Amino acid sequence: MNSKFIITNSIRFVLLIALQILLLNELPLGRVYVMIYPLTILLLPVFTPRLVVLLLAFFTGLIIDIFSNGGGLHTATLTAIGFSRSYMLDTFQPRSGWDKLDVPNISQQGVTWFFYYSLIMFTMHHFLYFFLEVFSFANFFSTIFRTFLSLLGSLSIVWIISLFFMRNTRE
Amino acid sequence: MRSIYYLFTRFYVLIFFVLLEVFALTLVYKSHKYQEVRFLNTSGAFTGTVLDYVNEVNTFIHLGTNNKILMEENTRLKKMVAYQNVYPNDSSLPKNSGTYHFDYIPAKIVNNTINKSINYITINKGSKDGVQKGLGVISSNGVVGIVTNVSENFSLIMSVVSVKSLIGVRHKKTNALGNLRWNGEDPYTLQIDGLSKTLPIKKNDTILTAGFSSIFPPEIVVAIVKQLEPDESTSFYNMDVRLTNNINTLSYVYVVKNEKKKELDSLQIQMINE
Repeated sequence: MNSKFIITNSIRFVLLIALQILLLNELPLGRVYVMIYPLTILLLPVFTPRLVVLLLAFFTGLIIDIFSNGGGLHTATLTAIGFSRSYMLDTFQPRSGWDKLDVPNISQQGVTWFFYYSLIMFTMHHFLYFFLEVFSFANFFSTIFRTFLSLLGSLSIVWIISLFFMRNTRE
Repeated sequence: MRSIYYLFTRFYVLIFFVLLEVFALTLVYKSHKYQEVRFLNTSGAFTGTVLDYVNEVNTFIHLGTNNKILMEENTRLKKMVAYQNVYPNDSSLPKNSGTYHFDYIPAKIVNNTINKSINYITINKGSKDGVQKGLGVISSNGVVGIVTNVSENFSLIMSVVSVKSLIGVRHKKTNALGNLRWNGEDPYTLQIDGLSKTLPIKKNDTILTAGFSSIFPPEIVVAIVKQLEPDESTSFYNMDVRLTNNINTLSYVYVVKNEKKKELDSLQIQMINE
């Protein structure tokens, strides 16, 4: 079971990072930036050690940064997401508590649960990213506007992908 | 000692988080402060090669547009050659004077974004081909940016669509000088400051490179005035311009090499030091 977890997670990491770098980074959408790579960290099994989650987030961010000349932006934001994930999962745990093999994905936790989970995490990620990128609160409202447009794009793609894979993983 | 050990076992995730976050934020701060991207960039051998491979698709998609642009450039050059043959001594022709001799290195774009506040373009020519830090980059119909990082086979250009970019430009009709900047909002609209309100500038006027710098050759069309209004609080115009080249769909660019740049720069440094 453990090796199966590792393999599926590795494949997901590679595919999502490739999708981000090769396709989504190139979209000609002006200042709107669609980012779905935080999904790699969000979908790790619940009982992944917190330090492992943190380090994976850091290195994933580093890879995205290297391929998109982000200059540390993706690393900083994704590390923060990796750190806050466990608190998020604690707050959002099911009534009976987390089970040992639980994965916080759409197939196991349901559409509504995943909707709120991804909404909150992606909102956090996008706000952090865009305000760090501008590096000031000047043009506050245009930054907010850009954040919301990007968030809309990212979340639609995340939900489409999740719904697409939902049936396959249900046992 | 025991309490320190206890603290560490209790809070090691938090400690690691703080360390990693401080490291990442240092990178962000440095990328905002300095021109070049210090550690993480696409001019590395591995990243460059991967993106080069991927960009074949992108080049293919924009093949038609790029063909048209190159055709137009070809026609323009042919006309110039014909004109030069007829009037060999006409002084109005843009040609190399004794002061500057510009050399061009053609390069292909490997990676290109316009969705950030500081945008970088990777090209497939590096120090091996003679590209150096600080050189200007133009396309067949406009200005692209300035080289900030150079590796052996690739180099990184900070595009004009960056909040840190600053390029000297000239209004064609009045010869007034200004600065081309970007405010970070719409990547297709740039701003020019430093042009006085008293000048007779109209919509759709042409903006050229300033011509006094050693980075860009003179007489290159940069942008078209899109919108302008006099600023109430200063004596300048608030001016929005549209670049003549579409940075997003570019595939081929030219690195401008000025053979006398080093000499000129060293002279200017001397002047500053004195």
